[in-house]
Amino acid sequence: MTATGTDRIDWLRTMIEIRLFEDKVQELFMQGRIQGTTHLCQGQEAVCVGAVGALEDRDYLTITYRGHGHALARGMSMEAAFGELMGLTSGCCHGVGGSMHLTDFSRNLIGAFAIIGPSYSVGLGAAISAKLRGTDSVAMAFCGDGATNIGTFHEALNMASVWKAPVVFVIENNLYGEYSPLRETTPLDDLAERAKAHAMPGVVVDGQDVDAVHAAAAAAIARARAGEGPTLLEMKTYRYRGHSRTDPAKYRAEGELERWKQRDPIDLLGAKLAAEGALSAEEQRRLRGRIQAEVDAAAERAAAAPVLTLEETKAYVYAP
Amino acid sequence: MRVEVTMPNLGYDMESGKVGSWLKTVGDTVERGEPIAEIETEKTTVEMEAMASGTLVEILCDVGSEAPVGAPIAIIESEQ
Repeated sequence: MTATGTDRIDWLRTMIEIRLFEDKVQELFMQGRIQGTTHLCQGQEAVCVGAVGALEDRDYLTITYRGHGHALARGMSMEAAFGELMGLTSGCCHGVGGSMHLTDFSRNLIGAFAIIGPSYSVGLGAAISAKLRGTDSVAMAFCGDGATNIGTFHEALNMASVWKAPVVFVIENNLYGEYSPLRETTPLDDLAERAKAHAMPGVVVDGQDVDAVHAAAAAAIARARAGEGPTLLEMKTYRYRGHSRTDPAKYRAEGELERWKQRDPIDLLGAKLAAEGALSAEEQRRLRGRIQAEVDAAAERAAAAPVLTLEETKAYVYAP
Repeated sequence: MRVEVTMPNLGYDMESGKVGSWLKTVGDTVERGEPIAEIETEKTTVEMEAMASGTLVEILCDVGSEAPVGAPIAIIESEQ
């Protein structure tokens, strides 16, 4: 599948939407309009948009607690995402899931996991199910760099390889597992090497370049759909903010954030589109203004909804 | 339009916070999303971003002073 010019303008739009959505979430937290905690993905937008954008509607997706961007890239409305974060009935899970559980079965977004690891095993399950049912759907499962040290990660890769499951495993390597630099917890620079142990292709991808992300994801999806089995993709990326809402990320080396911002994924694609004559810098500036207005309006619409009553909540929980 | 900058809510049980430093002074131009102050709680110190673009026209809570969550600590004269 080759991306068209129109696709790439849509990618830029979605990447800006994710950036401004996350910025707005931070604001709403500061104002006390969202409770609990949250994990934002500013800086990682190219991974969400390039990889998720390579899936077809019939494919399956499992994500993590840093999953707002993936849900939006899968087509969830900002209102449904904001509502979920605010705990209101306008949310995709009627407000009973919250920030870490943006889920939408109508889009085959079958789970967002706060626990480290199950995104891979559940994604594998969806892939095996698709294969047993004789469909050509594939599954894409996301995890972070820290998860590659978890048993579930290796169990899922092993079984996927043995069963030739139609699954694409994506690692978002943003260099930190919570507050720990990768180098202090993991004896590898390239996590894609872990694919070798499970006899599948492992590919290192520039996660700030949405074109590269999309190309790598499309190739892995095609391989899975053709019955050739799983692929492990490692996206080299970076989160601009701390691990969670109150983490000021003071543990990072001086200048590291600034260096990554020089390869900002939105700026990189924006510069390409401007150079190609597809969308000028001025058009991009106006686009950003329109998206900011949409983000602010979506948050207000979401906020107008009520909280589920205790009685209504019973329809959405398993307890008898 | 005058936009109140309020003491942010930074944790489940936070009731008040202290201004650790102002990163802008009165008269400075600020962009939405730009850090303007450092807020200290018992557990952490967090940069607070401006929620509107404009000019910082008043500081209502000096460095080292505490304010309850939600109380105005500065005013931005917004461009909009």
